[in-house]
Amino acid sequence: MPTPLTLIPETPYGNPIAPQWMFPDWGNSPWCESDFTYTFPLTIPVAGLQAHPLTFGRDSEFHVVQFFIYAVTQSAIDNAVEVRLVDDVGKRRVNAFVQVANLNSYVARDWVVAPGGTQRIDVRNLTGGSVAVWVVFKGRKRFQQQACAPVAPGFCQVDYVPTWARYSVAPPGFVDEPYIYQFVMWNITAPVNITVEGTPIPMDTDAPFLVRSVSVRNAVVPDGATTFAARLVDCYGDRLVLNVNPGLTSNPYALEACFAGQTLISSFARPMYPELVCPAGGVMALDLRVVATVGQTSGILYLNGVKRHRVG
Amino acid sequence: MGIERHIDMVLNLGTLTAGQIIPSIQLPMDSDAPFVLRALGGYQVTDGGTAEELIAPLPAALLMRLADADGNWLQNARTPGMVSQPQQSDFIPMAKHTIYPARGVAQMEFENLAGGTIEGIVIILRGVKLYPGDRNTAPCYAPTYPDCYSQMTFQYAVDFNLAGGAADLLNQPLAINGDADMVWRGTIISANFSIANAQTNGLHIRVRDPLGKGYASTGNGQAAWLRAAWLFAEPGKPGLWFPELYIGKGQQYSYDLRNTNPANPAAGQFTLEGGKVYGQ
Repeated sequence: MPTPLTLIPETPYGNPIAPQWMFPDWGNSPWCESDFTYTFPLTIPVAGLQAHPLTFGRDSEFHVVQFFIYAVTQSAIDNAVEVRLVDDVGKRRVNAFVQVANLNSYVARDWVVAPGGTQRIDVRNLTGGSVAVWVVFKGRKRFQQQACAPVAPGFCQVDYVPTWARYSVAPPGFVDEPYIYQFVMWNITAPVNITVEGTPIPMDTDAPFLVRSVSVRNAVVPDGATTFAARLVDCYGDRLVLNVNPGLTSNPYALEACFAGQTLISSFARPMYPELVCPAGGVMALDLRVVATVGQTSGILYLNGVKRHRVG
Repeated sequence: MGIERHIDMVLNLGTLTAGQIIPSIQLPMDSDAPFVLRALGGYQVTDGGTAEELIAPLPAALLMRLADADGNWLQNARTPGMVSQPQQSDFIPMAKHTIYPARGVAQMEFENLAGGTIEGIVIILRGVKLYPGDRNTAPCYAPTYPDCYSQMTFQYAVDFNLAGGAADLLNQPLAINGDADMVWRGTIISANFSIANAQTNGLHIRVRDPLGKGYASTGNGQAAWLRAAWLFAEPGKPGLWFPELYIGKGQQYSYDLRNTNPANPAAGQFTLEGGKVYGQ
């Protein structure tokens, strides 16, 4: 039976499995922009409420993308220095004092500071001693110049398209339901370094399932290691991994150690792109190999995705 | 239309003692194409070249400042946290990319306020090189998707096992099957439990396309070694290429491996995450 096809809406050149925040909009702009960071060294004495004005450069307006406060001993200030941001007309950007650890982040959308503008941070220092910090605004300068080249002449921008935007969408008459399959593998008893193939993973019969991420967790100790390797086989018999250099085993189709974790149990599921299509009532398979004689050989396999139901 | 091709420009900074300032250090660009800087990354190696060597994120108190191709600083002062990231293979995106011409120079300065020595500092300028032409005419390896195609999620796995202190393993083939093209989007690495003292911290890697051009450079065309444990990562967030690497069916990439741990083997597996692309 042929491999199921996944429809791709457009030809990509970016990397769809990259997290979205890693690829901000580098696109063309009628303005001349450059990456820039303002750093303000500040010593915060022990006191009650303090207001520190921070003056930005006069050469251009500045768009804040990320804000954070650093100290040499970050942990000392994370919970004991509280901050409130106020813009140049006195409008608060935070409704209350917020611990530094909870404020350091990307801002939700561009935050514009006029040329020569002033931002103010109100600070409460609860550490019991004065602290030296750096207040950092990362972002971009925007100049009112023409004929600048945000991209080198003759080149186009490679656009970033996040994974979720490129997964298939339910066609008319269907609806997608988020769904997670969980399969517990308890006390795997395969001999060490011998592959046991074809452990069935049956799908429900109510709707096709589209796998969009996969993870394996230790069944006994949260975030503990597992000591087996595994390989997924789709409902059509396609092995989804091939070892091109099986130097560590005599098995020509060595299992993918990383997939099942070993030392690399992750709190996050591994993104699967393109999505893996499993028909209703289909049966995937898991090939397993215990790779150590000690340790935990029980695990839980999670398949995260959507069920595609027909409406009505 | 030009071609963007992933590249890591690597500065091996070495050791900074407590309080030390390096006021100006220059990373030369390669001569084959302009470089577009889009993100910063880095790591430190403690006890390098010993059995205890470890890779760790750089501390936020390593202050850094970077200039554009014209020598204009992109920060108003040396700034903390420019290259510190919580996890290997993370990198810190620039809000706006910066273009360096071929044979240009990226000037940087550093200051160590961490209160102690920072060993084995490696700074990575991550971005793309810009090649003229299109997918058919560009002077680089640049195949791409056919007009009509389907994709299937797929991984190629590569086992490795270098004894401690072993000689470099050079020009290892990484062949793609002839049934379909492969899109290599990320990489996961792990050590092998069944081999005593197996580790990946000492493993360095260089990857090359079928034309022999690498994806990391120390400037002036010199191929750079990168720690595999930084370049690659864990399942939840594979070490990424951007843009993805597209490999034609039946084509062969190659890679070099080096283990700088003199005692313990670098043994395990890395997997090429991505998909097979079938033309219609």
